[in-house]
Amino acid sequence: MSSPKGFVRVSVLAAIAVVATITVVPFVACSPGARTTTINTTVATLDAAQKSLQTYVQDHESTIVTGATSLADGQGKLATFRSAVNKVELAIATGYRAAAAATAANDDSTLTALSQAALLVAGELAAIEKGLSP
Amino acid sequence: MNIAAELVQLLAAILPMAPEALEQIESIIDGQTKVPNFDAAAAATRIANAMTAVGSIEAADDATLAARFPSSP
Repeated sequence: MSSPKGFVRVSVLAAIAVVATITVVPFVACSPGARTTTINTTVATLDAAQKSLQTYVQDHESTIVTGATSLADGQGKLATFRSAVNKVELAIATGYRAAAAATAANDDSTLTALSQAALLVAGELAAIEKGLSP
Repeated sequence: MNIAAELVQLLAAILPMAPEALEQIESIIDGQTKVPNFDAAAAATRIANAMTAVGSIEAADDATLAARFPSSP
């Protein structure tokens, strides 16, 4: 099992993976098959980011609970952490919705929206890493 | 340059905890896996499952924290 810091690293690197997915879009958006591949790859990457986030939440919250000096201390730290996690969850949800929209409407704007949503996920994951770094 | 292949390599290097996701991505890129259209219902299911999973983790941690400090109001 990885250390808590390792999970932070995984989350951030998952964000990089999302960014990497974004880089695929301009190269493959020209054909229907490539468009489908881009959407599916982005969805799979969002899935991976979501799984990494869950593992990270489990590990980091455990660290908070174990290190809490009082109930109020623990509750406060959990609330702060969950506020950051909620932003990532919302970003991932936006990504999933954008993927559904890109699948339903076969145009460039929805694919652009998907890449922007993926970028949002990357940004929020990077933010949670930055906020929690020592 | 095969960007899709590089993406897979990148994922392989950074997501050791999710090999199944990696395999899925690889098979999609290779065209071996035909993924059903990702519609609004699929998105809603994924979002709901994610929220439930994180919610369960949070509930368990709330309970553990409360158990650590049973005398607190």
